[in-house]
Amino acid sequence: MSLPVLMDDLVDRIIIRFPPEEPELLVRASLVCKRWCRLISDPAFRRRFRKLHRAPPMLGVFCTRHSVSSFVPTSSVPLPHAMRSNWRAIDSRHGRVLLRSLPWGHDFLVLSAGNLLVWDPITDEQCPLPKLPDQLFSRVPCTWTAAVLCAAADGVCDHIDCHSGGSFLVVFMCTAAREAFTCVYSSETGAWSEPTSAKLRHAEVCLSPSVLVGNTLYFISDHCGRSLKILEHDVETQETSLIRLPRTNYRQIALVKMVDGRLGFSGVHESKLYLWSREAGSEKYAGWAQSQVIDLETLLRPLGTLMDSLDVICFVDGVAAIFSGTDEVFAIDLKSGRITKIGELMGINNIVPYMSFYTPALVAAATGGGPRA
Amino acid sequence: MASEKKVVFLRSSDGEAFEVSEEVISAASVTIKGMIDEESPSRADTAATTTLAIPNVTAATLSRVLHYVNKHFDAAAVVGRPDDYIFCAPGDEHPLARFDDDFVDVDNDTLIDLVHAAEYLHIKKLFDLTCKAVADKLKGRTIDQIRETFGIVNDYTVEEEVEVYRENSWAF
Repeated sequence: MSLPVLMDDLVDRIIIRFPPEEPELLVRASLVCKRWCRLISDPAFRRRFRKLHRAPPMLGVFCTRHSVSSFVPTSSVPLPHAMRSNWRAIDSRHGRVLLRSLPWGHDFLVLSAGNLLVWDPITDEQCPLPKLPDQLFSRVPCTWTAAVLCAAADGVCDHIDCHSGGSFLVVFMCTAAREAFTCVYSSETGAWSEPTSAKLRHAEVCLSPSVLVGNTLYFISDHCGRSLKILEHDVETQETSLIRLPRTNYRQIALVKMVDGRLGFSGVHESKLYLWSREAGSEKYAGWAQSQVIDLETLLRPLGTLMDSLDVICFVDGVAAIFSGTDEVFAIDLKSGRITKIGELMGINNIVPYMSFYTPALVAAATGGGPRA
Repeated sequence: MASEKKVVFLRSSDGEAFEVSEEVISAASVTIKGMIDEESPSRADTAATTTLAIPNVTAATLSRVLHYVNKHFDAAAVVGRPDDYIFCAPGDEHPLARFDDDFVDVDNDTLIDLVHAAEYLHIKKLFDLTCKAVADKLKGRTIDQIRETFGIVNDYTVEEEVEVYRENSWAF
């Protein structure tokens, strides 16, 4: 049976609805005929494709084992440049990845800083960051983390294409006994800002994925592995504060950006995933409300995964949640419930998901002088 | 006097008339809302019901479209779920998800008729749903099958085809 002939723009409307996590479908469609190829290769189409799908798909995760990361794809997209040696992924956002380019045995600050690197895994474009200011290293031991983000705020930039050529910020945060320091690198000035400090007791920032809500970054703080809190850093005012969490039984928590744009967190207890969202109100004393409970046993039954040591590792905005089970790490798609195995749990100490649109620029001979990008 | 629910009649291209609540169809279809707004000054004082001609849509398609519209746009019938729902576990998807799945589980010609009708009537949700359904159908097909489906002639030379395969071997 053949479909009635579709008008040109209707073909466009249909192809644009191919799921972004399966970019191979666009490549295959471009082989149907040259007209389709020109349509798909048109930068305007690629831009509309990204706009329509909004949340970039997760192409894979950077898995850190024994302080060295490797890329584990969760889609068919090839990232040939992701094969690097002796590096560790620290954070990823808006299409960029923040790397620490030398291996180190533990996560305390080492004086030989200056080996942070911002990297675009698709183009392999790299931007090594200058050495961090010396003052940061006067109070050891301390813990640290860092986040990379587009320099333009959410309302100003749609973060669809900004990773190619746009300016970015890297927020570096370290916590010592009674203080938290932050320092911001701006790609526009090419330099780190003067460190700002905040008097905070019992803050110990973790090297786990941060969450950006509006213009505020949130990091997990776990004092001596006993007291989970959230460190809040306002990128604009550069103020840092600690947010208390309700008393819970979770071994591990993951920060969540809720659908309505509020901050949330999640944890697993007795095979159930609990989602909490921060209630609006006076900022400092804002409370938390449990917003959803998901029975993971129903989801995971087909997999036969043992439930007794299940933890949530991180949430990918609107896309997936990553869990560690008894002996493996896997992602659950938030919309379909589809489960993707990421790998053996053995030795994994951090996961950084990588999200980006991958709309291949087809430079096929077929374009016959058509657009190429 | 309490006003009764206003209805309008839509006449399909093959002459069949369908009754639908004015409120519901106005919420659903930008095109029909425009037609009703245009008509309204002349019908303010008359009790006569409006009949609108929908020249581009057949009775078979129009009746399907109205079935969809009544399900999705009748405020009394639609049950929402909280906006902060972040995680869709099996069994708790949107109440109309099953309806939508069944709605687009039709043969290709019917589906394409629905795409055209949704476009003409400017019913965004239905247009999204039906286009997505066509995209889903294409996903499982080979390049040759897609060409056959759309009646497209392959205008690539063998060399050009090989070049695309070579550049994008990961996709095949």
